[in-house]
Amino acid sequence: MDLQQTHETSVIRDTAGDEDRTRLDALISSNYPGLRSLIFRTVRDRALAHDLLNEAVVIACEHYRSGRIAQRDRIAGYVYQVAMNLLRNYRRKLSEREDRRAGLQALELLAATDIDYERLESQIAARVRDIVEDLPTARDREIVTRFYLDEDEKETICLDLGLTHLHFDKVIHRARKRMKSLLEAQGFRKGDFFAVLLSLFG
Amino acid sequence: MNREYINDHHIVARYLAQRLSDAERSAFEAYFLKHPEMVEELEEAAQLKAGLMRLRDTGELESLLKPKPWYRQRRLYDLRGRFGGTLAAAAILGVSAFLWLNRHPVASGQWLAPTPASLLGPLGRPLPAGGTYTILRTRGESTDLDIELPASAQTLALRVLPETMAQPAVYRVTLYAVDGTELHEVATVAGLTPADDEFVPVFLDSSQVKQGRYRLAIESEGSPASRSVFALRFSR
Repeated sequence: MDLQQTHETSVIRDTAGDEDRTRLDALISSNYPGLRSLIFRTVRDRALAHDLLNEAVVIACEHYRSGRIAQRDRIAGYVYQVAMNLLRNYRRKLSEREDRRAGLQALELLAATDIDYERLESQIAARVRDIVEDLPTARDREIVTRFYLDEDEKETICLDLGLTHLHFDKVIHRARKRMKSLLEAQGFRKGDFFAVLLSLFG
Repeated sequence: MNREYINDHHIVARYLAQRLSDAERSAFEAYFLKHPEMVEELEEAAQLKAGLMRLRDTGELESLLKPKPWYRQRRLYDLRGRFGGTLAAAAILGVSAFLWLNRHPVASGQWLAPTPASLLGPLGRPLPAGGTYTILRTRGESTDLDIELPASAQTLALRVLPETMAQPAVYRVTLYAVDGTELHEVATVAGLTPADDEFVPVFLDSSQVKQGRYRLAIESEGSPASRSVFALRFSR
């Protein structure tokens, strides 16, 4: 799969009017805020991140309609799979084209000009700030940061910090559990996303 | 792949970090397509990652990672909300008791000293003697010495072997707290001389030390280039 649109997905996209596209954007924002924000923070190009996730949703819908996805409740996972494949391909290409990576300044400028996106990211950051502050020691905060942000492997972190695997697992479990409860408290669930989504594309 | 494997190997976070092997990735994708509830975990982990990225980009993360003083710790805030009145009363009692105990002139707040007699307890008396620890370079180890802190305040005797013998043999020892990638100086003591076995003795008040990683540097007072640094880890 590639970022280049296939003929099929172009046709689907063209059938969605401006109003539908707006609804689709809203659905993606409300149902995939983490994926959307993660892709944006990785590619550092808001338009590209938006297109990439949009593409993933459109491809998932097309595959559902063509019967390649047998059950509707599997579409959510399929969107993730397609988006991560697109992101992986993008990263591969990016390594050959450094000029496409936007700088931090450009990123913050974009953030300042997109109020909706800014609000979404602020909400996510507020949850994560709460999680990090809730960890009892600086070392626990370092574990979470190194694992999720720096993407260091568990073995490396344990070795560097002199941790047992059990302690590492406890800290990561605590952070995950806290994120889950924060999201649940705010009513975050997939809900009937795909029923609405499929209505957009017939 | 099953649920246990996913949990044990932190597959969700490693998938988002694109650190799975091709075989693991295919197996995990097959799993979450069959188990839609897994998407919520993917989204939770994605938000955790994206939120940390955002906090880093806005400069907030650095301050979040610093050790917090005890009075700013979240657990205390939670307790204060629930038992505000009780805590306030306890605090007044505590301060009163402290003032009563300190009617006599006392030391110290001092971390390091050249002699054990210089480290004093709340009543102005020398602290009881604790363990003796030998600090020297142990190559291949990430930490040169692990020290278990005693439950009550004691004087810990540290014997430090400089890697470079200086002339004149007068040394300074400095203790740093490790804060992420930064070092913060917490104590220093000068005018130390080695014993006959060439180890330099220095004494530490255990009650000043918190659990965590520290660096201890020793250098000749006349030659900073002679500095040796050792990694210490204190635990309870």
